[in-house]
Amino acid sequence: MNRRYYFLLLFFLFSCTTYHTTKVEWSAYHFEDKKNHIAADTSFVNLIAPYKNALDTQMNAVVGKNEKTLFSKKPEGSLGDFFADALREQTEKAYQKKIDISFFNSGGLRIPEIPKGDIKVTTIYELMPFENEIVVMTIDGNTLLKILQYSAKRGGDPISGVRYTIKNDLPIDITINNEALQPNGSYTYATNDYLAAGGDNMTFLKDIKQEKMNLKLRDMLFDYFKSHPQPLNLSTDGRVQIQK
Amino acid sequence: MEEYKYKSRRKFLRDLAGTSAFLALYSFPTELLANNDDYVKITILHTNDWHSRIEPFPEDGGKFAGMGGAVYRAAIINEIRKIEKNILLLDDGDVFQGTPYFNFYGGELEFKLMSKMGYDAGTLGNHDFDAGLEGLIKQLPNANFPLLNANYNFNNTLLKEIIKPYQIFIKDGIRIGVFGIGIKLEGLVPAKMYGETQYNDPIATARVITDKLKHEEHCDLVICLSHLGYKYKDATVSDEVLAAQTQDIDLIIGGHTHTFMEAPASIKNASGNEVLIFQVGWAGINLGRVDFFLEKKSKRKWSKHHTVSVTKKTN
Repeated sequence: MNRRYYFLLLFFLFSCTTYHTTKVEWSAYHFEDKKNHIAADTSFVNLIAPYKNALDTQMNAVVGKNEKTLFSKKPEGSLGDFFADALREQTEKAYQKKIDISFFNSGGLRIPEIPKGDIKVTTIYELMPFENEIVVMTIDGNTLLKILQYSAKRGGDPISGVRYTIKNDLPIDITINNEALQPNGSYTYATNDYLAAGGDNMTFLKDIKQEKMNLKLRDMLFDYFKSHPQPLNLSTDGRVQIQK
Repeated sequence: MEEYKYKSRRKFLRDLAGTSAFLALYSFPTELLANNDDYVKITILHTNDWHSRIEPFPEDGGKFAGMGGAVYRAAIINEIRKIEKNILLLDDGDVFQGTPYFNFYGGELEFKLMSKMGYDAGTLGNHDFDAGLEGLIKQLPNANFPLLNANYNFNNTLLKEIIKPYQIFIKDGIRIGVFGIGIKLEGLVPAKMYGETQYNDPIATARVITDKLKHEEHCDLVICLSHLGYKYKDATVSDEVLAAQTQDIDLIIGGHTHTFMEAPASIKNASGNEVLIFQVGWAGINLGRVDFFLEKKSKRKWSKHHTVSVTKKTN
């Protein structure tokens, strides 16, 4: 081997690439559009088929319609607002009392968006795949402040009933139902059993009395669609803002 | 271009390492290397955070519409298998949870598909505990590949002696040690799901395992399947921390944070050598690939002198 060859060799001692499953280019390989160039292995299609067929009828049913795409975003997105508002409203129905605040972990919304158009059962499963249930607590203003401090530090989460601003990773200008936060005030609070039990390291809620609604978050969403005229036309309302 | 005059090839390689950024601008027909008798090429293919995305994302105008899908992943892997002989196909965990396929079938189809694609090993992500230890054990017969983890102590659980810390793979005489590192479950996974599983420190564990893989098992390559997450704003242990505070890891295949990386990150480890960290988003949208070239005679790894070249994915 001559020296020049070694030199060339060294350019690619490591070659790393990211394959895109639809179309990929790499120095040594070229994957064209999947539909034209890579034949699907029918044995894989056949392995999936019985599972898929059994799910499709149920999962492709349309549960709602969206006028605009709902996005998950920090500090506030239309998907998070929708989810938190639905959680507060549906929990009020189950609890038969006013719920002041609902809160949910942003990481618990498992897809980044619900595209405009028909909303299928499968989309709700993908948004909320967990079997988590709704929990109601009565918390004081100081505990609410802890929740907001926790959330502000990580850039905000879906919330309903509260408006506030994040400044230097801290919550300021907090209002609940248009009234300033009262440290000794009492607030009804709806969330999921995961967070209530200390999930996402929200350890400060564990010892507060919890009332289980026996309602899964996913079923809460299905109920919401049933009780609201379609299509939904939802936007953010600036409930959580960031001040630089 | 400057002419290089070196007596020994090794010295040549050593000196060239310093110019890697410059070298990355050039392209080289890598297929020549596959036929070269002096070198062994090891091709690592990997996925992470599949989250039960059996089918491509629906064509609904969404961000990932039409992307992913087990059928096309299998086809691409099959194409690469036609060309490369030393392939290790690895997964970084969170195979479970995210579509109705998991709610209704508990991960059965995910493991069956991975087995059929020829996965060599996987590891445990936090969501792989979502059906509890019982739910996971129930699906293990559908996986014909091992799930590796070194820092969860399962001795008081049903998984005792089922989850191995590492496995050695031998390809063309090259010994490749693969081990798994999991994220802290407390505060992340409901306690009833992981039961008596004990979490051990990832760094301390990785140091023990890498030392064993390097010096007792004499591995030429050491790969960590880490579900810690790429990096965090605070001091939480991550792939970056793991890379910097250990030695002898060549490649960390990452996950958990769903980070779409176009190229592996390169971190200096505790002995000043480079570690690659690669993570390819989630949902089976991308397949990661890292090729290692090792000198056959001495098994000397050229990674010490490497340059990284990535061709961007094309949409």
